[in-house]
Amino acid sequence: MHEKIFPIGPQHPSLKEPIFLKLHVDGSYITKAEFNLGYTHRGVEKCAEGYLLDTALHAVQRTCGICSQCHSMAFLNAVEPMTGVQVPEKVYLQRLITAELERIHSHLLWGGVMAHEIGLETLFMYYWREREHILDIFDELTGNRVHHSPDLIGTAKRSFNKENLQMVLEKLDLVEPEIKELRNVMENHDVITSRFKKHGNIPKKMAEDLDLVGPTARASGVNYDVRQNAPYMAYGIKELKVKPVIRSEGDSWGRTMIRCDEIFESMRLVRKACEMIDPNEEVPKKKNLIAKGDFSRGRTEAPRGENFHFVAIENNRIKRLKLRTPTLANVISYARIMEGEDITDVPVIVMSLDPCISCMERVAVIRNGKQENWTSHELFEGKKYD
Amino acid sequence: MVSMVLKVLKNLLKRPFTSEYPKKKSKVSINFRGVIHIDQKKCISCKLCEVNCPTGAIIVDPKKKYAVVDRSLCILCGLCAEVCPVKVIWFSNDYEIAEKKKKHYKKQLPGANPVKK
Amino acid sequence: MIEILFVLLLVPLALVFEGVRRRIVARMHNRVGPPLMQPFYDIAKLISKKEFQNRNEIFNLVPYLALICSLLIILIIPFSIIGFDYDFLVVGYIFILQDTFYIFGAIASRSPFGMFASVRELLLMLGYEITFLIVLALFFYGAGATSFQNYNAEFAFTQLPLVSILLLFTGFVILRITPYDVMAAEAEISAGFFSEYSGTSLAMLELAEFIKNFVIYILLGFLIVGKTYALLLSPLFMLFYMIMLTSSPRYSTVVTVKTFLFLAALAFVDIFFLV
Repeated sequence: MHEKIFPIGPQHPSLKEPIFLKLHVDGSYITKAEFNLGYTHRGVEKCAEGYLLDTALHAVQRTCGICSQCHSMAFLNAVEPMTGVQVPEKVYLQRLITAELERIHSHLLWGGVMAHEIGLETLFMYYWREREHILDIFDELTGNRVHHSPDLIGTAKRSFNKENLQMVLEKLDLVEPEIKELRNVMENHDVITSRFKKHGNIPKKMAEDLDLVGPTARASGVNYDVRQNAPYMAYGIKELKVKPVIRSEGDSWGRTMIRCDEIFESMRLVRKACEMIDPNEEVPKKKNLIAKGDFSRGRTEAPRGENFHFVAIENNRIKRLKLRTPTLANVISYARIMEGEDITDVPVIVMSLDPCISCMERVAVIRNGKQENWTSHELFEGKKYD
Repeated sequence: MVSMVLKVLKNLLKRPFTSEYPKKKSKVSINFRGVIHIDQKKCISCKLCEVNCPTGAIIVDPKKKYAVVDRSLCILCGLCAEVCPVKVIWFSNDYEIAEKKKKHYKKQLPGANPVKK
Repeated sequence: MIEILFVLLLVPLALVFEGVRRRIVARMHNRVGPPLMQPFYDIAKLISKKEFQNRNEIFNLVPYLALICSLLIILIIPFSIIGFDYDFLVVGYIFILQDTFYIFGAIASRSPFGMFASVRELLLMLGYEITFLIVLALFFYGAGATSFQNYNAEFAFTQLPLVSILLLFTGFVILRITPYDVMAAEAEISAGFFSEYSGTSLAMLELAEFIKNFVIYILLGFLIVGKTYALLLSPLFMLFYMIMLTSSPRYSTVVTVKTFLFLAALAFVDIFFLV
């Protein structure tokens, strides 16, 4: 049969960020899928080099517009042990509340975009309406709706008082029944389920082979969650132990439902943390800290999966920063799971992994069709550019 | 399918959630970080904000001896307000920060810092 | 002269109707929605925009041909200004012609999205155009009429329930309403037929679509509930389609094509029962 190339991207209505999917199609079935990256490289890593620690923290938070708090926490996980600062429990709990609310916000946003992909604009509007309440909470708690930046190294910018916590609980009570209803609507809708079920299969073996992370891996039955396997900050407290949601389907439907269920798990954590927090306690003032040691690593569980930060420090300034966002781990599977699918299902499969392209883009130097490997020394000096 | 139809009909009779923006403005909380203001009379030109700013939006003018901000570069992180020893940098609740021309971003918005809760 | 006046009046009415439709959809989405005059602003703005230049003559002609098709239908359907014998068949053919023009334009644009849209439309045409023509003919046969002027059946759906349902199903494709709108699926093939059009051409296409949709709602009322209530009840049909649009995602191509082939077969079977 005559093979054609069907391009999706770099600009396409089903993609919110630029990525180029080159689909070889036979009729309307995909025989082979390739993808190209590199349309939106922003250079966060290079930008942060030479920054002071607090400045770098605020730069790193800007990596992602949706999971900014998780990036901030990963960076703090790396840097705070080096400075040896004693962080009070209240600050940890505040960070947990922000991070878990962010997870709710991210999954709601994703649910809306997913509904848009299958042509159901209404559900998109309903999901984003609920998301608006969560953004209102951020507005009240941290001062900004999207890039919250509530953190400083070892402390926070403001301490949550009684009214704040009251507002969080009220808004959650307002939002929860509505989200439950939306979940039920999705589950009982024949057309929606027919679009999701048995499309984009990732068996458990493939998920383990490709090192997938986050809800994508958990939907294939991989029991891996950084909050559970390597608890950090307030997740180590006994009452705030995370029970990750695990499903065994491994298709788009599993990935959809797992995100719907994670919202409720996050709500439980936020409610618990709001109970535990002492509203009268003040957070400590910002101190000038000196980092000891050369490098450190930090991990967090972002809404999309594991977030990894490597920080090298010299003279209390950032020498080298390496971020690995969860999408970089997940995006590899596109090439495998697209094969044999219909063009109609491509947007669903693309969105079911919840890609966040702009956060993920890193430079790879390719000359004469071969990828070059750079040593860290060459990277610091930028020698190969000469 | 049936539940979705019922939900749609219920929402048809409800009042809309959104508002007509330019006519009716939405409220933000008092903690909201909007436009950056610098009280230039009290500025001691210590350069701490200049050193800490992630984007280089704030520069202490060597002639005038106070900090000036280019609001087109400001990312509203609020670090300058934290590090300022005399607390002259503050953020108002105004969220309409877009300007018509690029040079308008360099116009300074002075004003004393109202102490927030 | 008076005929031209009628048509000139119906075009703004179709645009206002579109404005009302958007407003209703917005309410179903729980938002305020655009002003009623928004379609006028859209068309005015699109005409003022610079157009993407394409040297292909067919590509440039198609929007105007599509608009002419829509204007031709408006002459026949609500008030039967140029009514003649067997004009219902002509209406059916004009609808097919308009879709064929879209396919020509999409193929001439050489955009892969347009190509996919036209392939899907061609596949669906096998099912829904045949169904549409048969259903039209059956309604007129049932009423014993030969043209829109002497079609006098009232509440035809009581006598022809299955045929009325078939007509409502074909409405999904012609109006491009979910769940059966694969050829206009925004998510995978951009805007389908219209993805390469811009400026005045796009304005003409939009205008053609607005008029066509308006006419279809009236046609449904005309055939199913009869001449006297057609204009009054056509908003009800619009409401029905909008509820479907807002409460269901689109089926995949395979399911849609299968459904409409099945409907075409049903329509054929219907002929033997009724004639």
